[in-house]
Amino acid sequence: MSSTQSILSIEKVSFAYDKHKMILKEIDLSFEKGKTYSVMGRSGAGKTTLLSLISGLETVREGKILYNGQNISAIDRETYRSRNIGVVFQNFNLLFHLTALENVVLSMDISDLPLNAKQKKEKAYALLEKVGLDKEKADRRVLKLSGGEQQRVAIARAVSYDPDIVIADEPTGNLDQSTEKEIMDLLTSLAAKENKCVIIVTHSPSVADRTDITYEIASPPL
Amino acid sequence: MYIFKNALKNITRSKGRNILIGAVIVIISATSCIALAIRSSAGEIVSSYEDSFEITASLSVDREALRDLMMSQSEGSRGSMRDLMAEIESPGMAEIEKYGDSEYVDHYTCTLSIGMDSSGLEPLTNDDPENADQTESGAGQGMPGGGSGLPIERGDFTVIAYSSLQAMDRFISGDNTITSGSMFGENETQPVCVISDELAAYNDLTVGDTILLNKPGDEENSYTLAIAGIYKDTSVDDSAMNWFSNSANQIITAFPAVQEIAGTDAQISATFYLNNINDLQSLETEMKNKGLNEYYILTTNDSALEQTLRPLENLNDFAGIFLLIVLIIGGAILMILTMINTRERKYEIGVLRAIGMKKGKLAAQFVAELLIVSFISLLIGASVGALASVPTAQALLQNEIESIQNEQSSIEENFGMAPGAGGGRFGGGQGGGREIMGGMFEPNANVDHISRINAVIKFRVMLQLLLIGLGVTLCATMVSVVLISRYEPLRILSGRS
Repeated sequence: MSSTQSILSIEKVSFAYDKHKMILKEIDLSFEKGKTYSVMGRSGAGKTTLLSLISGLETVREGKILYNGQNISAIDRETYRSRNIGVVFQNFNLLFHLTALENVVLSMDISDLPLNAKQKKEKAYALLEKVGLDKEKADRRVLKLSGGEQQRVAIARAVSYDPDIVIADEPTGNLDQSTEKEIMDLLTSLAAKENKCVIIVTHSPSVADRTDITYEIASPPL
Repeated sequence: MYIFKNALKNITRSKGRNILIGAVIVIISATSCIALAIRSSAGEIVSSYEDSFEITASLSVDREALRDLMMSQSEGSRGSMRDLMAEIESPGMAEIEKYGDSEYVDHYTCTLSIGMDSSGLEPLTNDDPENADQTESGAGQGMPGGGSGLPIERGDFTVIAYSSLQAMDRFISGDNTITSGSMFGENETQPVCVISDELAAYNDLTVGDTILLNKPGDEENSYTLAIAGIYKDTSVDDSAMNWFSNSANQIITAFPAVQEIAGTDAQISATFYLNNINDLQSLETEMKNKGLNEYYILTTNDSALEQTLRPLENLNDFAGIFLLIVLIIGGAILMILTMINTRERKYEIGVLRAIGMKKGKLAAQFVAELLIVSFISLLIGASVGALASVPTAQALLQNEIESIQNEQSSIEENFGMAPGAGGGRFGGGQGGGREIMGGMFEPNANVDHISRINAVIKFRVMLQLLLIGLGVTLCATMVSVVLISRYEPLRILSGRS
């Protein structure tokens, strides 16, 4: 695949937590804006590890990951995570003591969006509305929302600062079928309507079928 | 700024935890405030008192050196202390004037004294003649300005003259007061004198009467002194043991009179008023260079200063140690609470770092939370401290004074001395005691301790408190900062999964 138009390129990336067990071996992948990708593989294949490397939560030791042609190892990872890439975690990882609105606004604060407090609040309400949460739910503490609602808040937070890339780790893993459909609709619309690169880590074939491209990660030989 | 906003939000979110932290800081700041106020006030009082206190130095025989000399002599040729002391030439007026001419000496006073007998006067004697002091050491109650320590020629009476009215400490302090007639002038040339009311009453004398004196063993040559005034010694109470009181047999006269009577036989003692307490050693060195006998030393009244200031200095030291303990223990408790607080919020830290919040900003948020709580608590603690500092300081000082006085009374009782009987043979100096029995104790029942301390909170104390509060808080926040820098978001969030 040509990397000339890729927003993200993974070039010969290998990773191991200890020297006896290689998790990823010379992975080459490329991702473009405006498309949805699924990354599949058996349990322990290294999908979540790959996601951690792409999001900058883990450091690349072998190979390189290029964002917009720039090696992410050379850029500030916190800035990269707060402005260029949005992560939807498997367990949502929301701040439970805050409301849904406050979780989204906090993300905007961290990314230093050039908006005042009122504008951030308005944008947050609009985003939450877009993902299916009305104002009443937006003002509710996250702890008092359902799993599907929390997932929507996590998506809203991940896109609050308009990143180029959205990564979702098993976004439908804990959800029922109907909610899974709604969440997938949201994610695919991010790519189709907002030209984002959406990467979904999943082991569900039904989720993979909804994406444009599927990458299969195989466990490296022992 | 969102960090400050989040910090405020988090403070109100965890009320219980922050109230606990606040309580610790209130206690630290209140106790620190009181301790600082005590130290500040005590320091000012001590400094002010030292500046106004007249440090005096007197020449006296170095008995210890003489004792060493005596012991170093072989048994056959060993003389007595008295013999050795008699061999030492005491400084004359010319020497005194030479020593007094020093950059370290503000001014000096002298006394001349000589033992005399009288055919017409009966001396007041001790109850037990065997215990009567045969020779006066030249130092004791009623002999201010110290003494050289050398024995005065034996006589029933001591005729004493002062170089100036300023040298008459006991009259200046009010221990002696003229009850009849008046004191003669500083430049008196006539042969007049002032005697004690006890002597006057015992010999039925009044102002205007004359007394006839002669040197011991020389009845042919006599000297007449007219009584110009009679004084009362108010410092001796009825409970004092008689054989400690010798001032009744003193006859105070003018300088020229004693010089005429005694000539070179007069015993001279001088009191040098130093500019600074730290000049003592320098002055002694200078005197030695000017020819002072090697067996003479300078002794000062700094023990009186030390005794007066002792409760205050003890209080000052106590406040300092207490402050240190409070800061160490309070600081440690605060650090532990901060550590627990930070560890409890590990998940929050992991999430914030995972969504891109920088370590520094996260640490700044935690620091801001603690600083806000600290500032509010500091204000409360300082208010409490300001209200409590004055009564607390006063109570502690009173306690300290009582403790010292009880200690002194106990010592005096153990040595069979009545309270206030610290004078006489063993007393001296300006209200202080002299070292006795190898420095075991200093009976000072009559010392006036500084008993009032106004430990108000001044600007300087507030500033010190603010710095202490800031220091303790920042030390505690270091725990948060270290933990935050060590936490990896992936480990935290994976562990939670």
